[in-house]
Amino acid sequence: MTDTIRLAGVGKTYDGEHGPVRAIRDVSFAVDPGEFVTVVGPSGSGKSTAFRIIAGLETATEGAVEVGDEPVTGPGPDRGMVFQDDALFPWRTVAGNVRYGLEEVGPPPDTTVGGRVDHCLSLVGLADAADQYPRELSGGMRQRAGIARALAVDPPILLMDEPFASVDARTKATLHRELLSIWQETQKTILFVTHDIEEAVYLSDRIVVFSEGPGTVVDVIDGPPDRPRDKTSEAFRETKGAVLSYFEE
Amino acid sequence: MASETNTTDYLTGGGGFDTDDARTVALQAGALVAFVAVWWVGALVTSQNILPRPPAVARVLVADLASGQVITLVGQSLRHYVPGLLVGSGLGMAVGVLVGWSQTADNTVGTVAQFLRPVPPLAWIPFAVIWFGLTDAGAAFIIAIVAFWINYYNAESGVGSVDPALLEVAQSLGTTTDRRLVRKVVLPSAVPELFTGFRTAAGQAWMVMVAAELLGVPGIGKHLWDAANFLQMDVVMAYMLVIGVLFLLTDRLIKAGQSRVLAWR
Repeated sequence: MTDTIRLAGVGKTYDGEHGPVRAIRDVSFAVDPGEFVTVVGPSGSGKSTAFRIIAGLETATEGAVEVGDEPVTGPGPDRGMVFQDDALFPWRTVAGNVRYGLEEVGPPPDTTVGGRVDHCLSLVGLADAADQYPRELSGGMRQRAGIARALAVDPPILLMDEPFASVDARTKATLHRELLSIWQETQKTILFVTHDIEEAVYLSDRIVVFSEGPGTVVDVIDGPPDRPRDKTSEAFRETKGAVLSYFEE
Repeated sequence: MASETNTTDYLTGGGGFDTDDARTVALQAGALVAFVAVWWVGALVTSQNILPRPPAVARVLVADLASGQVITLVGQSLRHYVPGLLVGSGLGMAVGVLVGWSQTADNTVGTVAQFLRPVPPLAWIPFAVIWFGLTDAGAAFIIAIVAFWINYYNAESGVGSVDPALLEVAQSLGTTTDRRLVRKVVLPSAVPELFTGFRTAAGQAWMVMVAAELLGVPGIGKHLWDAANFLQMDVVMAYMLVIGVLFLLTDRLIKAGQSRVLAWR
């Protein structure tokens, strides 16, 4: 199997001001191709550290991280990234942002740069905002632009670090539905990090639960069986309760 | 054109000279009139040699504008102002970006820079004379030194304040080499600071130009010093005003370019 994310015994210790600080320890889990997996945990559980290690932005001090059977050595266009603060290039228009990766690695086979930009913009519903600068967009639109930019180079994997944490509830619900439909259409593998349990239960095939720091995996819980998900269903409440049980004393 | 409109909005939103707001224009005109009035009153109660009166200064300006003297002197000054500003700014930006980006360059070039930086630019005048003689190049050298430092520090801080998340995104989108990261991410995001540095340097360069022409290189500054030696204070004042206008024009011009290039802000 290719394009699977696999973590085995991953740990990370930082050199803090007052000696070493352990962010995560013995983290092991795997994501199958096409799967939507969410990592949930309280703040300070090191889930963002795990994210950054998979993204190749930091290196693990223990254990092994593999993506598509290759050890991770740095960031790369096989893993698209979407951040909480959109990290759009402010001097580029929305279309310019989406074009960035295509300028660097070229368009996917059988597509052109222009066609690919248009396709990704309409996938996230931003075709009309192509010529706008990020500062002119709402928070929700900026996140859509960030997703379109990550999708442009057609990475098999999408890594998302609390992408909807700073948008309002109504926009968040819309973005959830849109993300799921993009996921189903593009068949991407998505690894999503959040501290919002309801978000995790609504989106995920499986939920990886992190403990408080130094974070480690305490459980992996299957999402409710039905899709699209009904937040009022018994299965939804049960799954949510199962995840919540790890965070309540 | 959406971007045009936004540029204008941005300018008026920021206030200042370009606004059509009648109140602002009235205030600005009022301030200038008040300034001339205070000057005039001061000139009336002192001697012409201490503070020339506005009409005397105006006569010099009108006569020198009519004879082409102002244009000639501005032309002579531009011959070292422009090359000095451009060369100094270009080098300052280049070295500033290098030092801001590379730790090695910071440790080496940056260390040397910290030693040279406290030297007042005018202290270089003896070297300017020895190396270049009393030429445009000598005056340009002094102007370039001033422009260099201002641009150097702005470029260095501009590069230092690049959002690390943008660098990470670029890497995840396939930008691998340092050179390409600088070109595609670091430079564009430092453009506001680069512009600020260039604009500040362009202003400072007019001021240092007067001192640089002390060398004896022809131009507005030289003319001003010569007039001062003959106690022609009306001429001195007239060319102080000319420098003021040149400063404003340069600043407006660069600011207009800035708003155009930085429409995304």
